[in-house]
This record gives sequence, structure tokens and C-alpha cells, in this order.
Amino acid sequence: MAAALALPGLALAPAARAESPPDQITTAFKQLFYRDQQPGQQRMRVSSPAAYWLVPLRNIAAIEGYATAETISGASPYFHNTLSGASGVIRDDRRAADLKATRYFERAAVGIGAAASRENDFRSQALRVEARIASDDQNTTLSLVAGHTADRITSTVDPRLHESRSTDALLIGVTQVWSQTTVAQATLTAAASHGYHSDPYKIFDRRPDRRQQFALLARVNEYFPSADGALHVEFRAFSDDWGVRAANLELRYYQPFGNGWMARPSLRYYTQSAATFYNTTFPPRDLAANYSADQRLASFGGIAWGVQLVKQIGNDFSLDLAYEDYSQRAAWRTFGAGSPGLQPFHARYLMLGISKKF
Amino acid sequence: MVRAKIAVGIAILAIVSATGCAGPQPVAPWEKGNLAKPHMALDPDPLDSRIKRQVYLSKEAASGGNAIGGSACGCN
Repeated sequence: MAAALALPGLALAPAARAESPPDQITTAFKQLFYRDQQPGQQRMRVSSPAAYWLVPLRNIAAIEGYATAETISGASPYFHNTLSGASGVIRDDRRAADLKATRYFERAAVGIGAAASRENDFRSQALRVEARIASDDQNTTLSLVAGHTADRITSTVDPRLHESRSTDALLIGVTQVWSQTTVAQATLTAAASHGYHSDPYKIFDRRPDRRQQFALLARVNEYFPSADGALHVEFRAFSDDWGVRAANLELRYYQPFGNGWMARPSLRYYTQSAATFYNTTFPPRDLAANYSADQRLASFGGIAWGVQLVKQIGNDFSLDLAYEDYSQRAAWRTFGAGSPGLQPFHARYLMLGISKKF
Repeated sequence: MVRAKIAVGIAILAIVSATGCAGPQPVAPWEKGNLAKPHMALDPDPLDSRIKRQVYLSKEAASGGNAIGGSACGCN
């Protein structure tokens, strides 16, 4: 089912280097242990194995894939949920997979990808095409991605609900080698969706049947030769026609140590304004008007800090362990006041991973 | 709120400083050794990035910027 709609996304930002296929098979596996809570109550728990693979084909192409199986249990953040409180506990299993094929040319690459996910009350299918072209000196790369997603929404508490939603999205980007130690990237994403956006598990939740979203992302990677370390800085600005304005800034620092160890601390700050129809008056005064008390559409700020440790064993095998702590507070919002009465939110998660190249 | 604004300002300075406040410099292929290091990739750990993006997507209203075209989730 649908909550705050997201621009459907798959990893793999456009590369900054020459357009050439990978020369090794890469496989990775991670296990996620996630838990979130609000004051006085445990909320969601997620246990999720995820796998990734990248397979070169005859030095001119590559297949890239992803698969996950999430087990989700608990209650979503409280606010007029039909599934909130002691009487309503969610148990959901989500399966998702994504596959992309890329054909490489001398200074360009084209790809096509497909993705699907399935939950007890939600199914999604997506298709996308990608193209990248690099300059003669291969210091500048232009990227273009177009995608379409189709979702089907039902409800475990209302068998009469059979809704759908579709999204078209376009991303354009430029990646620039700035110096011998700096690479930068900027992307602009636009998405338009129409169909069912409401949350059937939240009483009186009624959202517009259309949504237009824009996201501008800029990032810079800077290498420090004296330390052999790298700083990644990423900034994103977001807006939509629901009235949400958001921005986030993330810093990640990669520092190798001896004997194949590397540490990566990270810090992320996020702020958003509320959707125009966000309203916690209960019941709503006008049942025909758009309305949602979903706190994910409220005004708040969020801070996430984390650390990842990686141990390289030999040339082709590595283990990694990551921890992240994420909190949201109304008072942490920038450029305006947070939503009154918003309950603090706190999430923690641990990821264990292994990676092998062949 | 004041501290958040200061943090944003510091971050903007960090980005500007990282680029040296100058335009891009031509870099020859044999000068890209540092850029080819694994921890200088735009996405050194795609699986980690994807999982974290899913966490943020399920708890925030904003999304997008990194990629498009994957399946959505009924994150409620």
C-alpha cells in the first residue's frame, strides 16, 4: 500500500570514469537488523537480507542485479492508524528484485532495467532506460535516465480496496572530474505520478490523486593524498506540489588503516516542511478535503549518524559492519517551525555484509 | 535552529572549499590514479546505499536524486 510516495529508486549513480565494463564479477550480501520507536512504544522491526551482483559479459556489457526479502513487523508510527496500538500489529513480507543490462561503447553506455516488488498489500513493477556519454577526455559525463513505475494497492483490512498508481520519472545528470583529487556530480530529477496515494491504514487519510516532484542533488568527492582518505559531501533539495520542501546534507569520510581496515563515519541532516493537507485535527472538519495526519508528511528535522567498518581480506574478499542511528524531532526543522505535537521518532539499524570478487 | 543553520553554512563552505573555488582542471588519464581508488567512487558500496535509501524513503516525504526506475514500496 501507499504512504508518502517516493520517487522509485535504484542505486547506481552515473559513473565518473571512462565508460568501460567491469573486469570482475562482484557479489555482495548484507543482513539488515532495523528497529524504530516512539516515546514509550516500540514500533517497527525489520529483518532483511539483501544481495547484489555485477557480472561483466565479454568485456562489452554487464548485468547488475539486486534482491531482497524483508520481514516487517510492528506498528507504524502512531497517528490515527487503524493498525496502531496494541490491537493492530503489522506483519508484512516484502520481496523485491531489480535487474539491469548495460552495453558499453567507447565513450558511452546504454542500459535497460526492470524492477518488481511485492508485499501483502502492494505490488510494484518498474522499467527504465539509461544512457551515458563521456567527453573526449572522459572528464565529463552526461547521463539521462527515464523510468515508469506501476503500483497496485490493496488493503489487509478492507478487501474492497483495489487501487493503482503510476509514475513517470526523468533524471538528467552531469559528472565532472574537477581535479586529480576531486570529482563532482549534479543531477536533476522530475517525477509525475497519478492514481491512489492515500494510506488506507490511517483513518480519514485522503491525499491528492496527483503528485509532481523535483529533486536537485549535488555531490563532491575529495581525496586527501596525505591521509589516503576521501570525503564525500552530498546535498539534495526537494520540492513537490503537495507543499513539501525538503533538504538534506550528508558527509561521509572514508579512512583506510593498515592491514586492510577502513572506517567510514557519516553524518546526515534532513529538514522538511509539511504537506499543505497535513492536519492532526481529529476528526477532520471537512471529510471531502485532502487530509493526512501521517507524520511523514509533517514538518520536522532529522539527524542520522553512523559508522561502517570494512576489513579487506586478500584482494577479493571483504567483511563489513555498519551501524546507524536516526532521529526526528519537530524542533530540528530548519527554515520554519516544526509541526506541533509531533512525537519524536528514533530508529537504529545494524548491517552485516560480505563481498567477494571473482 | 541556529545550530542547524550554522551546520548548513559549514557544509556549504566544505563543498565550495573541496572544489578549490575554481573551475575544473583538465586531467589526463594517467593522472586519475587517486580518482580510481575504491573509496573515491561516487558509490563505493551500492548495496549499503540502497538499503539506507530505503530506510530514509520510508520515514521521509522527500526522495529521488540518486536514481530512478526501481520498484516502489508500500511503506506504511
